Amino acid sequence: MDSKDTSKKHFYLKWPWNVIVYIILVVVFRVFAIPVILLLVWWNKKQQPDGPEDGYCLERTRGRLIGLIPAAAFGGGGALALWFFYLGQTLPEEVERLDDKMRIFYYLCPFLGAGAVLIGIFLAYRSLRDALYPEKSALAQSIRDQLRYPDEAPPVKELFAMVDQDLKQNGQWCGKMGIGKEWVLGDVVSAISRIRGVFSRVERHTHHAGQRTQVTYTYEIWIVDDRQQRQVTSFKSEKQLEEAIDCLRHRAPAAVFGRYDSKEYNDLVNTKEEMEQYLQERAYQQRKAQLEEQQRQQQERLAQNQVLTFPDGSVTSRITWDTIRQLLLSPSQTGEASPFQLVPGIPFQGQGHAVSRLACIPGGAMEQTRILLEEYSGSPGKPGRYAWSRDVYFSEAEMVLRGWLRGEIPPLGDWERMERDGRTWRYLEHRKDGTSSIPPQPHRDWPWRMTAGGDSGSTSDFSWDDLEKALSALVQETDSYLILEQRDPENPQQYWFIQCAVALEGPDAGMYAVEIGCSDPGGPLLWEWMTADVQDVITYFSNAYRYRELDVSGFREI
Amino acid sequence: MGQFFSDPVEQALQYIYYDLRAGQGQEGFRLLQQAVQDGDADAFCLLARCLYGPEYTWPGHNFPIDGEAGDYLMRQSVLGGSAIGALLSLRSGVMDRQLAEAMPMTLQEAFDIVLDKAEHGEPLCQMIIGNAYYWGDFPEIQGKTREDFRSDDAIESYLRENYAKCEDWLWKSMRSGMSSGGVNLANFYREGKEGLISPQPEKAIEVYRYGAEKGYPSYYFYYANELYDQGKKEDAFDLYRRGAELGEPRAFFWAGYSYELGVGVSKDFARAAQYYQQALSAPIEAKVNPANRLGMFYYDGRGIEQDYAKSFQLLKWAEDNGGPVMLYYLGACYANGQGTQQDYAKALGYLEQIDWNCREAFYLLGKLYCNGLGTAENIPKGVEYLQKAGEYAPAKEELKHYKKTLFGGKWVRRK
Repeated sequence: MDSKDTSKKHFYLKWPWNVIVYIILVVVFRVFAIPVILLLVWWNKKQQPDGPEDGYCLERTRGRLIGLIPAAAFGGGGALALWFFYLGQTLPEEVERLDDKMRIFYYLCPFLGAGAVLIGIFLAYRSLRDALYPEKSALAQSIRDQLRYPDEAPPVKELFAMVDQDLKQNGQWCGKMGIGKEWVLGDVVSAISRIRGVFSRVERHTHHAGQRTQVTYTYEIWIVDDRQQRQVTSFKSEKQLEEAIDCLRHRAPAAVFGRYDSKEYNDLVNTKEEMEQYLQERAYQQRKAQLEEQQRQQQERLAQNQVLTFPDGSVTSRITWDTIRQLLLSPSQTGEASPFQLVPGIPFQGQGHAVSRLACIPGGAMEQTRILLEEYSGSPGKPGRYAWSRDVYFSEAEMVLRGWLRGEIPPLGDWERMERDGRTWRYLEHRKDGTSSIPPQPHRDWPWRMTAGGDSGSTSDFSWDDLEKALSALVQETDSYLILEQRDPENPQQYWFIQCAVALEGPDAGMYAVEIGCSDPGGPLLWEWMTADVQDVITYFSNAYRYRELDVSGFREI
Repeated sequence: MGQFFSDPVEQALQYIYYDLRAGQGQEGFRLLQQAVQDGDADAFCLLARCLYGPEYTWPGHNFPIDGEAGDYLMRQSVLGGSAIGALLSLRSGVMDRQLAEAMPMTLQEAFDIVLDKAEHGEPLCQMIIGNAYYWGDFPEIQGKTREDFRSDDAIESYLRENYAKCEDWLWKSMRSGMSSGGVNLANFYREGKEGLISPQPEKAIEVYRYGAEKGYPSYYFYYANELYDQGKKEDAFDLYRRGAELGEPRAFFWAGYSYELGVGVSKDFARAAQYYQQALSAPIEAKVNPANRLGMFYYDGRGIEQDYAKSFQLLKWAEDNGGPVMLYYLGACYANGQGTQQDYAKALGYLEQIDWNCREAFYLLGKLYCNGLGTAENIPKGVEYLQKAGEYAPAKEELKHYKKTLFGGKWVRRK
């Protein structure tokens, strides 16, 4: 499973070539270059479907080069004013002929010109600084400001990676604002945990020049953090702004939401008294705790979205621990066994398995309770082929069932493995190494890599379309195969993969061999399943790729 | 000793037939059991009727059903010399040649005894006599054969004359408090006797109206059915509710439905749910509708604590038993894994059958198609469903995940 890290990537114009190309285009085509540049920008973005190769933050700082345009305008205007003054100095008789208004302007020219040039230089400096020296950029500084100890901030590369990773995994984009789980990337960066207020600013400005009336709009989001610092991001449209506000409501629900310059805004921003600030922070923490409690309760309800079947066959979804406890203790009180079962609507996952049912024969307070966990077959309604069983005393039964109500599967290492035998179960023979004889499910939190036979190596930069195409292209040749692999990011020695090739010889020649493999303390494990239909293969890979349940009932260990 | 039967039997008749509003049916049953143990021959056949099923007494009594034990008791009643036992055994099919030979009296003698009691105003006997005429048992009782008649006309005349006698006796029994007597009376009016007596369906409605006016629980239900068919829903629902309040099981569903809809009464989901539950545990066959309604109540938590498992169990049971299929609710249960294991393909099967404007269903369909759940991914079709859901907030939220391509206008997932 070793692979070289040579990714199969789309071609695009990399930094700084893209800028050079844009400049050349402007030089050659002047104003007519604008549509071509816009087209190139769009194409470049499309060629990087998983976000900018160098990261969102770096792209944002490099984008500040656009600030050279106003810088140039100021610089040019200032230079023009200075030149005008210089011309007047060389031709004093011409200055004498100027009317009063122009003469005043003439004498102001050196100051105005110098001022404009200075502004231009500042803007140019700022743009170039942000674009060429990201560590000194305003964006990097805004990230440092959000850290608990800004002086101890890591290098800019790590700072940007932190934000980029969050946006790549959890980001939702509303215009140019990217909102992750921890960070918000707008014109500057905000840490979601520090957000105390989000305020929208929508303003309409009307300018009258002669007979012309020009209307411009301002759409901005003002984020106020716990240190009363404000981060402002502007948007192109009200729709983008509203989308961003909606998203921020989900990501920072405890923050205050309102309009810019409203009472809430002014209260949050202008409070100087320490006591008032303390009260505001306390109100925020209370809202946050309340929301977290609501979320916890909702989570609990979700975990209990299962069907409890009582010994008399009646069912309920209103499951409380008291009910379960009563059932567990029932034999001690009534002297009768009262078996029950719990079936979650969506199979529980954990310990590398998906479990669709818990059946329990309580033993009361003194006798042992038998618990059986049935593995999910992969198809709803189809009974699982394997199960785990364990006889436990009350305290352990209580622990297992309490966990189950939270949607947790207990560690199955010490449990007996069983196989379906008609309507009952039989114990499976113990393996030497104590591992399961059925393949485990893929890990939801491990990233994917794809290796296609014939290509130069593996890549993590691929889409489902790439994978599907590669599967459809499998042929009966030695170097035609496809591996979809994942490794534990914290321990790369742990891996899981699903691979497919067309069998070259033997009784299954021409059929697709789908294999699932994984690491194990006792050595690598491999299971195989044969099929003649590539659509079956695609379904398996699709389910694995999307972290859905795999029907592993047909796989045999090899 | 009572006027017509032993004291316990007369008391039992009161509880089981004449005073249904008292709700003492079980006590009547117990009295009959006691009388049977004491060897009361009339009690044998009356207890047998109780065990034959609710149509022989009243569904509201909720008596156990045991046909075999009923037959045994009926035979014992005949052999014990009960006149009503002899006529009732003839009607229930227990009377065979062997039993006829062994019984201590002839059928005519038994008839005469019962007739005498009927003429003296005993309601059950009036009904038995009326039924003997209605069901055409009279030739057998009177020992008449074809040879006793000179012509077919004479036979027709004999039959017409005797069938018609049921009308008077059944009216008498009904007026005397034997509500069951009206059932065959209404049937007699509605169907007539083929080739002999013409139907008079308007008189059947009159019977139901009379029964309802007398306050017989069953007749609230029967007459309400007529009014409902006539489009007088508010009056019908009022009668259903009155019937249900007196324990008429067939009215439970409709009473619940009226509370659910708030027709002629304030909406009361809790009461509606209570009636649906009563309908489900009553000894009646029509249970798919209350099962469906209660299933929906459990799903929505309307008038009752939300319980997806119970909801799914009821809805599926109704479907499996030939009831109308609650497409959205079953689809939602499968789609969300509520009360059953999540099964997108089954969810799709139900939801796609929906042909009315159900925005919640369109939202689910949109999600299933957009995400390729239970079917191949089809974002344009999914988006179409999400758009059909209109202003439904979750659908609007879901739509935000998709956009139209710049060229071609194809719907794709937002990156």
